[in-house]
Formats: sequence, C-alpha cells, structure tokens
Amino acid sequence: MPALALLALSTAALAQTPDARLEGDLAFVRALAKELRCFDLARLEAENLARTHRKGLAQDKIALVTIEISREAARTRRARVEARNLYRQALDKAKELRDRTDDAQLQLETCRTLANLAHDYGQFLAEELEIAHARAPERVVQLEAEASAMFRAGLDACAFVSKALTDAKDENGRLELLLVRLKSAVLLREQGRCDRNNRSVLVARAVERLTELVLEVGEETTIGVRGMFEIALCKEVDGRIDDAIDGYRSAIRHITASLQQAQRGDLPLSPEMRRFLFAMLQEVHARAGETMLREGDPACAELFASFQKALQEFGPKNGALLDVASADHGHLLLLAKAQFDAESGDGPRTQQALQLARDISVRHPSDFVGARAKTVLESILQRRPDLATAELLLELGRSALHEKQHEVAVIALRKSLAVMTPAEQEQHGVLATRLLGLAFANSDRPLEAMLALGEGLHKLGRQRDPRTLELAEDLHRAIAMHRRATRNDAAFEPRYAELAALLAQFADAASGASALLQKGAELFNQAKYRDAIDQLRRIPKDQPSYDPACVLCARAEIQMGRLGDARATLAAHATHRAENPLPPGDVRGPARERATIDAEFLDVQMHWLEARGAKELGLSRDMARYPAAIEKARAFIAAHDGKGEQNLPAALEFLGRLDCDLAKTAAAEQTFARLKALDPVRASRLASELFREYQNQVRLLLEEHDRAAAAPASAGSVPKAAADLEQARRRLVTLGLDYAGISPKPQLPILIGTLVNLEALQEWAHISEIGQQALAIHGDDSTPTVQGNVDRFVRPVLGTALRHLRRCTEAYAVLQEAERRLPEAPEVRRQLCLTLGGWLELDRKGSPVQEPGLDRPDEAYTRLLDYDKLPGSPAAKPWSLAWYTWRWELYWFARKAAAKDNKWQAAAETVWRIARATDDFAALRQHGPAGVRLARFFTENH
Amino acid sequence: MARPTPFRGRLHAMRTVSLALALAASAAAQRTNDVVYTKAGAVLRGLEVTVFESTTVRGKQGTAPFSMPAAEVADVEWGDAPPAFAQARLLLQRGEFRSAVQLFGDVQTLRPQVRADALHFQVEAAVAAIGDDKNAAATAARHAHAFVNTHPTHFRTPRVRLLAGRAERLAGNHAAATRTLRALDERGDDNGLRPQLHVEARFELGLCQRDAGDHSTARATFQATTQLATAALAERTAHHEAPALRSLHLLAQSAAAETFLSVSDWTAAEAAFQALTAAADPASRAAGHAGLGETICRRGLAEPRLADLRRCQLELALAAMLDPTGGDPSAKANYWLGRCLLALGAEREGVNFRTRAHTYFQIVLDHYPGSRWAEPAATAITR
Repeated sequence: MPALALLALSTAALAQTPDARLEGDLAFVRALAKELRCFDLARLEAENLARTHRKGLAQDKIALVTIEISREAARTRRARVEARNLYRQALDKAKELRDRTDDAQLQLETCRTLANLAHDYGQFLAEELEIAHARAPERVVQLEAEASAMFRAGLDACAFVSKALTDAKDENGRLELLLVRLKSAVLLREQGRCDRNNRSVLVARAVERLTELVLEVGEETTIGVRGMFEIALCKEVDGRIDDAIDGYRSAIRHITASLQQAQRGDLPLSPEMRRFLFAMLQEVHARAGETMLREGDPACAELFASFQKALQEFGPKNGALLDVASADHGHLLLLAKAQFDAESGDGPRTQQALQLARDISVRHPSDFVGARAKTVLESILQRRPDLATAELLLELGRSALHEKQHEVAVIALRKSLAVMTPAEQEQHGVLATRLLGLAFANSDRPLEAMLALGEGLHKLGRQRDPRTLELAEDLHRAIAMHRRATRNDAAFEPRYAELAALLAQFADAASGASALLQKGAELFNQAKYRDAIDQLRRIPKDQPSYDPACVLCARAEIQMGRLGDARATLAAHATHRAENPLPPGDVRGPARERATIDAEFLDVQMHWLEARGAKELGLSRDMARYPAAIEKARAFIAAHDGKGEQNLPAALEFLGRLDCDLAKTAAAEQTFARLKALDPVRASRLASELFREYQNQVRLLLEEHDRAAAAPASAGSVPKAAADLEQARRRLVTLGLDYAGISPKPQLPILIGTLVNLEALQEWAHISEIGQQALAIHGDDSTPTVQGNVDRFVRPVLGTALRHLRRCTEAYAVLQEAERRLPEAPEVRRQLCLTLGGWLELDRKGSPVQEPGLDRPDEAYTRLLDYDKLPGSPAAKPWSLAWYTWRWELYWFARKAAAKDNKWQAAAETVWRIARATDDFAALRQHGPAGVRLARFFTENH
Repeated sequence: MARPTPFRGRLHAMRTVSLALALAASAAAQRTNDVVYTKAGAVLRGLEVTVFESTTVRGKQGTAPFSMPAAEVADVEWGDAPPAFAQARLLLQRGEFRSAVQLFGDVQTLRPQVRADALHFQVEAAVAAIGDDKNAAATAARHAHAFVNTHPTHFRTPRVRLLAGRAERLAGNHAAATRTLRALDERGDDNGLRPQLHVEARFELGLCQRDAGDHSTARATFQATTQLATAALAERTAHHEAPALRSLHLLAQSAAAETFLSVSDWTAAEAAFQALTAAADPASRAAGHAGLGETICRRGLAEPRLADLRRCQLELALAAMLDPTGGDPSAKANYWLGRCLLALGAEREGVNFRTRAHTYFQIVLDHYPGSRWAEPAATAITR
C-alpha cells in the first residue's frame, strides 16, 4: 500500500489559539521531530512544556504533539516491533484525546492526526500481513481484525475532519478537504482488503469516492493522477488485475510526461514537486512491477527497463543504482526485478539477482524491505542451492546472528565453512569460525562453541596474525564458559589439554597478557581484590592489556577503600601514557583510549565517594568536597556527552544526587531528564532521592501556608502561599509519575507520596493510574508494613479517585475491599457511601450537578448513620464543617431514597432539621466558602 | 479559471481519456495464475495448468498453449487455491502434521487439479503424522492406495506410492510394504522414476527389511542406497534434488550402521560409526559422530556412567559443529545432547540443566521439524 506524504494533513495551517508563545514552542517541538528527526529531544521538550503549562487545554495540546512525535518516530523506526508499539501507543492516545477534549479546534486537529496515523499504521499492518501470510499464518486473523478496527477509527476521523472543512472558503481548507476525501477512500479500500466478506462492497465504495474526486479535480492534476493510481489499486484488491495493470501503466505515462515537460521547461514545477513526482513514479513502478511479476505478465521486462530509464532520466546523475532508487519503493521494485531475473533460470542472471537481493538486505537490516529481501534470497537459494557461495552464506549467518536466530546462523555458517575454497578460507574463514563460535555460545552451547573455535584455530591459525589472536581469545573465553557450565568436570581435561597445547602454538606475549587480564577480571568479579591486583601487575607494559589492567587495579584498590593507592596507580598510568605515546594505528590504541576514559571516570567516582561517603569503604560524608565532586562530574559529562560513553549514566547519577543533597532540585531534575533516556534504573534511583527532597519542600510550604491561614495578620500572604504550595506539589507529582513510569519496581512510599499530593491537586485520572500500579505491584505483598500502607493510603484514595472519575462500579469494589481490611476507617466509609448513594457537586460554571453513583441511596444512608461514632471520625465534633458535611450527605441520601420510597422522607426531614438547628445554618456559614456552599446546598435542595 | 495550486495545477497539456478507460469494467474473466517451478531453477507464471500428469504438464499461458515434460517440473503452485491450502502447506513444512491433515481436508475448491493435489498433500501429512500408531498407519496406507487407484497417471502418484509403502511398513504390514516398494525400486531401475524417488524407495525398502528383522539384508540395501545416491549425484542431477539426495545418502549411511543398534550390538555399531568419522566428506563425518554419540547414549541409558555421558556429549557436539547439510546428523545430535543433559543433571551441568535440555529439544522442533527426531523431541519436552 502506498505511503503518501501528500496525504499528511497539516495541523498548523488552521490553528488559532490565544497562547501564541505555547503555539510557537509546540511548532518548534514538531519541527524537532518532523524535520530534524530528534525524537528523544522532542519528547524531552514536550515534557518540559507539560511541566510549565498546567492548564487543561495546554496539556491536551502538548499531548497531541507527543502523539505526533510518536507517529513520526514510528514511521522512521526500522525495527518493526518498536514501530508497532509506537503506532499502537500513538493510536490509543489519539483516541483517548479525541474523546476527552471538549475543545472543538483541538478535536479537529486530533482527528487529523488520527486519520494520518490510521493511514500510516494501516500501511504498516498491510506489510505485517504480507509477512504473516508467508511465515506465520496463525497471526493473519488477529492482524486483519486489528487493521479493520484501526481503519474504522481512521474513517471516523476522516468523516469528522471532512464535516469540519465542508464550508472552508480558503484554498488551504479546500485542498485539505480534497486530501481528506482521498485518504478516506484509501482507508475504505484497505479495510476492504482486510475484510474478505465485504471486500467488493467496500472497494466499490472506495472507487466511487475516488472517481468523484478525480472528476472534480481533473485527472491531469497531481491529485487526479494520484486518484487514478488509487483506483487502479482498488481494482487490484478486487481481483481485476488486467485493469489494475492498465491503470498503473497509465499513471506511469502521466507522471513521466509531466517530468519530461518539466525538464524541457514546458511545465513549471518546483524542485519539491519534481521530487514528489519522482518518488510517486517509483511507487507506481513498484506496485506495477510486483503485480506483473506475480501474474507472469509478459511485459514485465519492459516495465523494469522503463524503471531503469526513468531513474537515469529523472534521478541524480552518476549515483549508484541503490542510491538513486528510493529506499522504499525503488528498492522494492529492484527486488522484484531480482526475483524476475532469478526466475529466468539463467545462471549468470540468477547470480546477479542474488547479489542485488543481498545488497538490499544489507541496507535494510530490520525493516519491511529487508524482510522482503530475505524472502527473495531464500526462495532463490531454495531453487538454486548450488549458487549459495561461501560469502553469501556468511552474510546470511551474520544477519541471522544479529537477529538472535542462533540455529539459523549455525546452519548457514557451517555450510559457508564447508564450501569455502582455500582463498575464501584465507579471507573469511576466521570470521566465519568466530561467528559460529559466537552463535553456539550465545545459545548456551559452550561445548560446541569450544570445539568449533578449536577446529577453526587448528585449521586457520597463523603465527603473529591479529585475527588468529582474536580467535584464540574467543577460544579462551569458550573454554572458561564450558568449565563453568560443567563445574570443571575432570572428564574434559584431556580435551582442555589438547586445546591448551593448540593455544600455546599461537601464544605470544599478547595472548599471555590477555590471559592474565582475564584471570584478573575473574578474581575481581569474585571480590578477591588483592589476588586480582597480583595478577594484573604481572602484565608487561608493552602489551595492549596493560592499560586496561592498570584501570582494573585502580578499581580493585577503590573497592578495598584504598583511594590513595588507586590515585597513585592512575597517576602512574597517566605518566606511562604521556611518556609512551602510541603511533597512529597501533594495535594497542583502542585499549588505551578505553582505559583513559575509564581512568577519568574512576577519578569522578572517587570524588563522589569522598564527598558523599561510603560506609562499606569507611568513608564519611564531607560537604566540603561537594563542589569539587560536582565539578569533576560535570567536566566528565561535558567531555563525553552524546558519544555513547558507557560511564555517562553513572556520572549523571552522581551529579544528580550531589545536586539533590545540596537542594539544587532544578539542576537535579534536569539531570534526571537526561538520565531517564539513558538508564532508567539509575534514573529511578535519582528520582527517589529527588522525590524525598520535593516532599520536604512540600511539607515546609504546607506548614507555611497553614501558619498564614491561621494568623489573621498574614491573611494577605495566603494566596501566594497556596500558589507556591500548589507549584511544589505539581513538581513532586510530575516527578512521581515519571518515576512510576520508568522504575522497574517503584517503591511504595514514593507511590503513596505521589498519591497524597495528587489527591490534594484533585488529579483523579493520575491517581487512578498510580493507585492501580501500586496495587498491582504491592497489593499482594504480605509484609505487614506494606499491607498496612496499601490499606491505609492506596485503596482509599484510589477508590475516591475512581468515584470522581464516575467509575463507580470499580470504585465500589476497591472501597469495599478497603473497608473489609479497615472496617472502621471513617474516610473509607464515607467514600463508600458516596459511591453507593451519589452526590451533588458544582461544575466549572458553578451549577449544581447530581451524580447518582450506584443509585443505592437507602443503603448509603444506613451505612453512613454511625459515621460520627467511628474512631477518629472528623464528624465527631458537632457543628464542625465535617459534621455538617456528614449531615448534608445523610440528608442527600435520604432525599434520594425518598424519591423511590416515601418512608425515607421523614428521615430526610429529621436530618435537615438537625443541621438547620436554631440558627438557620448561620454556624455553617462561619466555616468559610465551603460552609457557605454547603448551606446553599441545604437551602436550595429542601 | 482559478490559478492552479501545485496540486491542483495541470501536470501536462495532454488530456486523456484514461479515466473513462479506468472506470470501464473489465469484461475479461478473472485469470488463473498457476506457477510452475522447473528443475532447472526457472519459474513460469501466469499459467493455467489443465493437465498435471506423471509424463506431462500442460495448459495455457495467456492464450498460448503450454506444455512441458513432467521430468522437468519440480513443483506447481496453484494460483486459485483457497487460503487453507497455502496455510496447510506451511503447517506441513513446520512439522505440524496433524493440523495439516485437518486443514487439507478442509480445502474447498471446484478445480479438480487443486482438489487432487490437496488429497495428495493430505496423504503426505497423514503419513508424516503416523508416529507409533499402527492404526493411523493402516488408514494412511489405505488413503494412499485410494489416491493411486483414482489418479493412476497423476504427477504426484509415484510419490504417493512411496508413501503407501511407508505407511504399510509403519503399520507392520511388511509383506505389502515390500511389494509396493520393490515395484517402485524396479521402476526406478528401468529409469521410470526421478532419481530422488528411486533412492528414497530403495532406502524405504531397507527400512522395511530392518523392521521385519532382516538386519543383514537391510544393511546391504542401505549400502546399495548410498551407492545409488552417489551415482545420482554424479550425474547431471537437477539443482533442487541434490540436497535431498545428499540427505538420503547420509541417512542410508547412518541406517546401515544403525542396524547394529537394532540388535543392541553396540561394539559393531560403534565400529561402523567410527569408520564414518574418518570419511573425507564432512557430512559423513558428522553422521559418524552423531551415530557414535547415539550409540554410547543408548548403551548407557540403563546405567549411565559419567565418563560415557561426557564422551557422548563430545561426539554429539562434534556432529553439531561439523554438519554442513543441516540435516539428520544435526537433528540427531541436538536431540541426544538434550537427553545427555537430562541424564547428567544439576550436579554436573548446573541448575539450569533442564532449561538447556529444553533448548536442544526446541531446536529440533523449530529447525528440523520434518526429521525423525522431531517427535521424540516433542515427547521429551512434554515429559
């Protein structure tokens, strides 16, 4: 199914929002994703915006941009599993946003995005279906169902957008309407492709829409040509192959004529339009080529020739074929051509076809084109196994190993080794052997690995050859792995002795040093630091292993708490490096470079340990050392950021925790944001420290607020105190939500802290999310403390949130379980009763809204009657706000129950009279705005 | 006229009537698109095969007639076969024989060629699914003979005759199996069969003799099979048959030595397999090592000794490492390596010995599903 940039509906064109700055920021974030393909950065920026723009509509707009980022990332993602996850997430979030938002403009933009997503994901699923038909037919039904549901959602979205644009007067709006109609017809057709039972009807409808469109715009326009092509595709889906092929040919003629006229200057086309048409030309060729090949059309060869001519005529000059042809459709057509050549049965043409398919496969390691290339290669080799050269088999083996298909790799590599000529053995033998050993080792078959590598070393080993040394290293590792697996069984000693003798033939100083390094590493891993240092110090200075050995020595000394010795070791190594520089290309180069960076990191680590302290090493915290430690960490991060340095996450964690200790939470949070993307486990550790810091801040601000509220003299500072408190809570809950998202097992205290503050902020949806996560992870933990915390904090607040979200059945289940565990918890009882009997609340405009709950007010009334008697009940104190609230809720339940059965009227009256007392709710009104509101409820509902 | 936008503007001055043409419904009937795979490696598409016989394959390519000697045809793919047919073939390839039998039985088509081929594949799957079930074998044999009687000149009939013989053997009906297979073998001697089928028939005959207890005759038959396979490979054999012939060659070599295993003559079996490990060809060496491993394992099954188990592992690992064919030696080696791990246990192979054994059995199921070791591997996993 064709992808079509043209069909991407613009969200920017018609956006009109009051917050221009936010729009500017959002446009920047979109550009980061769409133009620069910096998806992680775009996501980070979106998260930053979400933190600073907290209003509902702004949050929704940011959510939409996040969905668009996921869509763009999915479109470029080569690994199919990742792409599929991204698409699914984006689709679910888009549907949720569309249903949630009540802003008409945002709904329109969301539907645009949904329509685009349906188109892209539909194409993706069509490719998945093709793969499933060939390799896993049991997935076909499920994929078809998923695709069908997704197309329906896309069609709904298109209908929404069409309706909104029907009266558009401007050119952009009318153009967009045409594109939506085109997209809607394409989605209809693709739905027909998946839905065999209704295929003809759906396809006929699609053709009708496309025809109307083409007649309206004219078949000579770009949209018209596209429409004609889509009609031809409809015919193919409907099984009318000859008509489809005619349609493709016609589209090819139209586009070719346009490009030729543009080249002659007869037709003014912008470079962008020319590129667009050139891409479309390849797309149509690809579709036509695949269809004609499949049908055995005799004009297939002519079509392939016309494609190559078109590439020469309209593509970049002097480029290689695979570079000039587009990576998607161009390469697919070339694969079809390869298949066509191979099917001729002609030896040389088949060889060329194999080469082309292999080249394409190498360029597309894990996308759909790559999957198709592998299928073509397999089918050719199945018919012509004699053409499987050693090099091709080696490539297939390597590719299978990369995809962790170990036995497939073993089969290919064994065959490759078996068919190698002496010259090929010289060139590829060692690599093939090493890969074979790796395939066995990675699939937990150390004996086979050992034997394969031993055999390889015996046959292919050469003295003073770097490749032989690498093979020998692999064999060392395989022997060690086998010894571990078989617990050093003496039965294998004769074989080990044979292999040791073989290794000794090729041993030189390098391999001996390497063995010492390995032994040292083994001892280090067993925490035998002194013994490890002894081994490592034996390595001669001229060996590649010397540099990493120095660093490992220093690490061992650090583990022993001997930081002074570690520094001395590293200083000596630095002197050695300075006095013995390596010439360019020296074989010791990579090891030295690695060791240098590791040494730098160890310095950072030592400063960190000395600043923060480490009980196990006998080091105490020293605040005076913090500035130096922070400086070291920053310098390391700055020097190695963005280079994939393996120690970077640890350095970031150090920096974040140091900043946290100094209450520099903003800096720590920035570090956390960076660390999240690199190492979620370390990030969650940092987050837990930062969270505790934020909890302190909230506690202090809450105390300040309460003090201001209590003292009439400082009444003026209450709003500011409240605003500061809210801001602090929001920072905390944002961090808490992040932490919950990345941590493999979020700690319960942090989840509870997040829940408590979310409740204060009345963020019910997030409470539901975190509460359910807390129950899922910690709900079955039988540790008394954990259970107690879950019962006291998690269930009640989760139940309350679910009630507020109108998910009363779920709320009831959670609250009932909470009450079972804590039968006399007042708030649990109250929430349970509200869920049962319903409640009255004010909406955003201040109008009262009745919520029926589970519509069991009689039961609610009965259960709430003794609320004031429960231990610690806030309603125990008569005439307090909590007491009045309880009276109000009793009254409300009785009143609702009376609507069904008159006998409750008396109870309602009694409650009302008690609440009104003799002062006509005057005492209630003294309780501030909440009291006034409650008094209003009483009076307006009597 | 409105100023054309980039997308609305005319692309060229030529107005065509392509739209009218595109919209006109095609009067032509939907064409059949059968595909013929030739032994030379060519693929012929856009065909309608109307005659699919053991001497000739005929039909149309477009409007032109098409004809090809059956000896040049490797296989045919039916363009209009229902989806169940393709899915069932995939199941057959993956070793899910029972499901394949069911699905082939569900194939609904009006086209006699497709129906006949579905029947043939159903027999193929049914025979592959027999296992130890003699009743299933007898039923499969009956169906196979029914196919041969109903389709005496069908392209697939010689193969189905072989399957009939195999089913009769597995049903314990050695006399009938011998008759069926000998007839095929003799036809092969008269050049009336393609080489692969001839070799397979002779091999099957040897299996029949082995199952009937005539081990020395079986051994001779297997040795003759290896010579037949060698001769077939030496001639200008079709590319796609060569791997199958090599595989049969190896099977026959192993089967000759395995006749000693059938009578628990461990020494002779070991000697026979040891001789194979000295062969020039790595595939035969692999078969030798795998056979040695199996011999030691079988001998030690009653009272496993550590030294024997370790030796067994070494031999099997050598087979798994050497086998360039990716065939029976690998399947055998992986199966018995799994059995070794189970016998050695946690004390010798660590706490994850069971998981590793399971991995070996799964390798057999996933990558050697059609081998004789797939069913034992499946049973071992279940246990």
